[in-house]
Amino acid sequence: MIDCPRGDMRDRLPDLLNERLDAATRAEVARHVASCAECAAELELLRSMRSALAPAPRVDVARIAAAVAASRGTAASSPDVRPLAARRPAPGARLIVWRIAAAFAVAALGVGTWAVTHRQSSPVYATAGTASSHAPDSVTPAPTVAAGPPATQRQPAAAVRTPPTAPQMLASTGHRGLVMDGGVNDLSDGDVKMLLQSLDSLTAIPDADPAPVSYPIDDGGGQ
Amino acid sequence: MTEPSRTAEEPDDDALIARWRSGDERAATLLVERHATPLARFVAGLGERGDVEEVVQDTFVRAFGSLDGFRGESSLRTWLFTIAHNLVRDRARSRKGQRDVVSIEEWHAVTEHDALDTAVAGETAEQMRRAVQQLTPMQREVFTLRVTEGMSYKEIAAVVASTEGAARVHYHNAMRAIKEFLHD
Ligand SMILES: [Zn+2]
Repeated sequence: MIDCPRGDMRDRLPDLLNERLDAATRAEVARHVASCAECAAELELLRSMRSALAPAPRVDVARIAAAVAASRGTAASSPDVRPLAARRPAPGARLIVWRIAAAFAVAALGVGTWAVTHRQSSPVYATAGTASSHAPDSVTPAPTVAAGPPATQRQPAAAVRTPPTAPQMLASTGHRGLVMDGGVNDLSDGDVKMLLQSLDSLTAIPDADPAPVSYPIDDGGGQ
Repeated sequence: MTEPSRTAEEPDDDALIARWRSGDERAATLLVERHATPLARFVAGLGERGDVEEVVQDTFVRAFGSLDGFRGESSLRTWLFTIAHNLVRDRARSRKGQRDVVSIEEWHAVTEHDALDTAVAGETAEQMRRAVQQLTPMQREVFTLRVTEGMSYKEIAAVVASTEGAARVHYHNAMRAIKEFLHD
């Protein structure tokens, strides 16, 4: 069998066979093959080779998928510094937990500041804004959190009925109130220091988790 | 069989990876369904004489276990084949000294050859498989990736840890050897 001198065309025969060429290139190669006996023969040989080599061992897709799912659970439950994550087998489930925790955290802080100011009509939103000014990349405002699983939408309301510890923390500083519709700039030094301390006490978000997650409280809050 | 193109309704690999990352277990099943058979064919073609399914399963487990390291610079398919290539190579090393080429009989055993469609007449197909068997392991791997799986030289280079130029040379050497074998 003689090889075609057009190496560029021969090189593309497997791509033509496997339909991996864009329309223009495909037309060009097909035109060449139509006028070149060597390439036409080689393309037929490749087609036959592909058919001859096509048979594959049968594999159990369900079993493999189950093994993948099982390995995911194993990996997530390995020793871990993240207390919430360590209790949850799957990242998906973990994400929901973090979202719930985030909603609690936001709600608790919101209610706390509301309890101190006695004049804020939407504490969750206001507090989310305050927290964002501290860590804008890792805090998700309550409305975004609520876009997750339905359960998280109800969490802030549930938290409102539970006496949170955040107001106690705030009250213990001796400051009478925070102006919620202002920014961090409107807070006194003591307010800011106290807020930063309370934020620092919250667990950091693990890098491995998807971005839109907020702070859960790991001590003090939500008890 | 190895059709790379799919209908517009089917989510692509990237979309399924995103779904899996967000906790959708079904996405993993879809990805396994999509890639398991080509991987099994590839693994068997590399001469893996142990449990092909075990290698394929191990490939997926490793791939999904390190998806965080997968940045989408290559396709998921290329990445899976690369992992499978490494697994087979490691297994071959662990049984060093044994021959690395699977016989036609062994190939029949692992590929359930009797269930073949009749696109290629039996005797001709047999000759073609023998033609591939007589290639060097590298030629055989490059040739099957190029022809059976439709990979580009760039993708092949990634799988076999080589260069595009080397992959091209291996392919053309394989093609010449196959033609000589079939026309002798
Ligand atoms: Zn030609």
